[in-house]
Amino acid sequence: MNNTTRRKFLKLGCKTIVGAGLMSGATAKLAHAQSTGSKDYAALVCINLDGGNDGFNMLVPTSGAAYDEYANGRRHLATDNASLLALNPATANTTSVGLTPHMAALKPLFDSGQLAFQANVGTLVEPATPDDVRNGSVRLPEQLFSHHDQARQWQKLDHYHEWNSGWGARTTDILAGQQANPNLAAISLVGNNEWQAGGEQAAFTIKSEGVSSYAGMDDLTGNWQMPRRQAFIELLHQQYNNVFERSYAELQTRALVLSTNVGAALAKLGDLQTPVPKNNALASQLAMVAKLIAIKDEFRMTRQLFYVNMTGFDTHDDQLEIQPELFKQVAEALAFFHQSLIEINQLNNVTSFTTSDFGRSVSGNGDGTDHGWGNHHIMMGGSVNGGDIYGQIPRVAVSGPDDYRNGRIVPTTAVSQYAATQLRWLGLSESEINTLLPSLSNFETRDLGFMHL
Amino acid sequence: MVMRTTINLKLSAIAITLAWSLASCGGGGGGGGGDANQFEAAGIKTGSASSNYESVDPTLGIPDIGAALSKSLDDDFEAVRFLQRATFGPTLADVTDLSEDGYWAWIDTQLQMPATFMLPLTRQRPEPRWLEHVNSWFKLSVNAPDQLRQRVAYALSQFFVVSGDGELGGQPAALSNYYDILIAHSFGNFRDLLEQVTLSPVMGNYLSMKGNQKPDPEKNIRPDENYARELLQLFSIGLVQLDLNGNVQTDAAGIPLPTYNQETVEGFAHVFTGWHYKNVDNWNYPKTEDWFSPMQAYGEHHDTGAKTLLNGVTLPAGQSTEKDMQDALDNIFNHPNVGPFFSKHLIMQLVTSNPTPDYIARVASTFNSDANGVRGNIAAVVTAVLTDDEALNGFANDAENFGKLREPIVRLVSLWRGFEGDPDHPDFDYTWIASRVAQAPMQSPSVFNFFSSDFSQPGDIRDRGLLSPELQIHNESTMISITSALLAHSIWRNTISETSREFAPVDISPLMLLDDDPTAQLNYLSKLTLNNPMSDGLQKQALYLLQERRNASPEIRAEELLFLFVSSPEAAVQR
Repeated sequence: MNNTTRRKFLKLGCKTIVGAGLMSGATAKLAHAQSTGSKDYAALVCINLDGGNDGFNMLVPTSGAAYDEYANGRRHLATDNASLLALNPATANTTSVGLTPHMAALKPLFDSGQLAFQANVGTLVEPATPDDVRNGSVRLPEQLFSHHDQARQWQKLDHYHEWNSGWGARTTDILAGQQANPNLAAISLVGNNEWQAGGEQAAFTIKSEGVSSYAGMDDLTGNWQMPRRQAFIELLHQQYNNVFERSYAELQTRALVLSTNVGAALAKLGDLQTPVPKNNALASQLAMVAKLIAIKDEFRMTRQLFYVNMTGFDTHDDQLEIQPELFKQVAEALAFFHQSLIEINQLNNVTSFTTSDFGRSVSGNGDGTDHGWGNHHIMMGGSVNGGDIYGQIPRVAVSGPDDYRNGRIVPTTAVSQYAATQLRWLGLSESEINTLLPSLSNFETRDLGFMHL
Repeated sequence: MVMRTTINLKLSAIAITLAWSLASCGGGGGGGGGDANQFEAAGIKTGSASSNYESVDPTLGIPDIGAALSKSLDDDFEAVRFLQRATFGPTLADVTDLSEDGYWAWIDTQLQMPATFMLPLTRQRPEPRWLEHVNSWFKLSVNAPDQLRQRVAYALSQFFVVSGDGELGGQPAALSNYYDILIAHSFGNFRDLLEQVTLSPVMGNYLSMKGNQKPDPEKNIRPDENYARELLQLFSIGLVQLDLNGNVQTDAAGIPLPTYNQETVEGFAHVFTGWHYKNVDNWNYPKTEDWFSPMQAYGEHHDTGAKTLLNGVTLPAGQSTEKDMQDALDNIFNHPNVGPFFSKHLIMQLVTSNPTPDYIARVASTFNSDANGVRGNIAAVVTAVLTDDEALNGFANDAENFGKLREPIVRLVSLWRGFEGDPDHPDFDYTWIASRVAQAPMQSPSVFNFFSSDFSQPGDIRDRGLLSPELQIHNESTMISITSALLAHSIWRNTISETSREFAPVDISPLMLLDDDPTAQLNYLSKLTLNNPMSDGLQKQALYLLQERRNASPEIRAEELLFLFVSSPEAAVQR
């Protein structure tokens, strides 16, 4: 099947909106044609660090000259070398790095082989050196250094504008057809997001606190609210002439059906034992993800994609005050999630990874850093080949060999490679991965090696 | 530090006059660093303290007013549809006035009305808390008579975004004062507004232009690029080159042509060095923070090198902090993108999510040059947006695609306006509203607003290639909370059921008076909650509910109907 045909039928695929999906012929064929892998269940959890996390203060070069040029770039924003937590990766990188002390909670996971880092990954259409960027000799991602655009390109991987959808959404469209409840294949804890947007199968949104009920219409036992509820529902099933009316009614219908079912299953489950870190919004979201994974069998789900988001990483200002808390919250949330996956016995079936708009500039602006490009990222789970740092640690130096301009480090690994490595683990075939990630073929390495099947 | 003030709000003769005077609202006015203009804000319950922004006279040259715009309206729903665009929702009195006077007289009256400001309301308590700030917005939006100005200011707050969701949450009065800039300039000139926003200490804090210093190569410090980048990307020209009609210009390979590059951002970042709160004693750790005066120029912290700006313009080295800023804002203001970029935003906020290119082009032309040849006249742009043939007739000409989903917060305010919900009670407290309706004024999660202008809902809307920005904040979770909020504000929080005034209970007594005449009752409801005669289905369900509640009280029947109407898909959409 060529790409064009495929693209089309993904778009025309399963139209089911509520209830168990009835696979259309084409989608059913696709489901059989591709290998789902041997795993009974697998989930990807995308942890977005909104605003551009400063990966260059998360992993810091520790060896003499490399640290000095980092410290020279960052000046008073630099982390003290002595405070860095030494990492001993399984594979030696050219540069040794230490972990920020504010992420101490992650060190045991790294040491025990359940967490790894991908160094200097970023948006790339094709491989690029700083000279290539300056000379414009390769195709570059559009609108570098812009929040919206870079965050979108991370999450869409649609550099040729073929899809206008997130790579999470395209993956969901493939997997949804195999699911008893396609509408639970993609779940967001924060509403609409680029990673899960644009496909045939919309993401289901649930809050950290769980499912609220329709106040004043949720008493299905008494007689008083029933006429009100019935009239309300009848209006949703009416034919509307205006497209906004139709979309509104359709979304309201999804909310009614899904929330009732998922709400009931969550109520039955109750709380997990692992204590959720207090005042940590990311941990709260991940706690709900763990619960949803715990009830997956109620809905006979075998593949799911979750999206969580933490804000506040755009540290133009007051970086010294803000950043330690950001790092700490991420680390504690991840460590908590790891523990809760152990509790529900799903550690090997769930892989979490971070995304962010971009890394931050090596040079400072006085009390913060500006928008950069390449960045370090985190992968976590029982199937991650942990305890290692993948890719190349760049020279974190203003005007160094990896700097394109004023401390903006050019990535040496593409997001498409990062994504492909995860999707292969999730069970997508090579041809499916090629179709979903059109720019992947521009890169030699298709698998970065951080997952084991 | 806030000035006590007096103002002369020129309430020039109203009536239908086409020859409005050309006010002095050209570029370069309202300089930074000087004392704020003195005035006393008129409007609802003016407090002892005043805002320190002056509202400028609207000027408008409309070359030719079509006869249709001046005559009375045939149909109440025509009035309702217009009022949903131009106000926070119709009241019966508005519908009557507009129907009798016609569009033009209504707009004219609104343009001439004195501005009602926010800070005086917030300052009714001497040490305003977050509560006073949030409540003030509701009081203004529900009760202020200058509804067109208020509605435009709210649309501007989603263009020149600052947010109390973060550090600014600790500066409620300053946020109210920022909103007053938008109120003051809703009918002013875009260039003045751009400058007031740029020099606002609130924006200075939000996008870190405050304290932005010249490069220090010794310490590897570059100017902060935050404000420079968002000013270009969000507040003026956008990322890609646009035709007058908003279409994106591309190169031969079909790749959109960027409006600027990283070097340009760095140029503007250098321009905006040397600004800080007024009269700071220390650049890095100021002891006093003046949140109410425009930021002040500090020449010693300003980069004096040459700067590369848009369209190949270079500012020469050695210019003052102030001059660099003025020249840079002129450079932006005169970029051809501003017209289509800003016009499209206003159209999408007020009228429809999917304007035709021709509609955008007509409004953008007005931005580029009003009847007097003035660029950036927002009053003229607003008038062009609201009186365009597409705005007035899209409902009939493209019934399926025209319109937009109403913002949840606007639906709530509209409910209060239609049914006399009064947020002006001392106990009123709506600080929690964001958690119920997925948004709250000046509380977006980031400078990118509550939703993106290019969001497209999966399914029908996306398949048609349409945009639906407001749907971005609607999902399974928020649909439930929004619907529950509408239920609470109709069935529970009405003046009959609710004795506490903290929830601004709606008055359902007019509906109860029509209890013996269901047809009149449903028509009354339709006018205040829909924008079109009710569908057969809605009528059927209404009659079903009346039947089910036949043994209940008139109050019960009234509140059930109110909820059914406000929660219906046809009420969620404006068109």
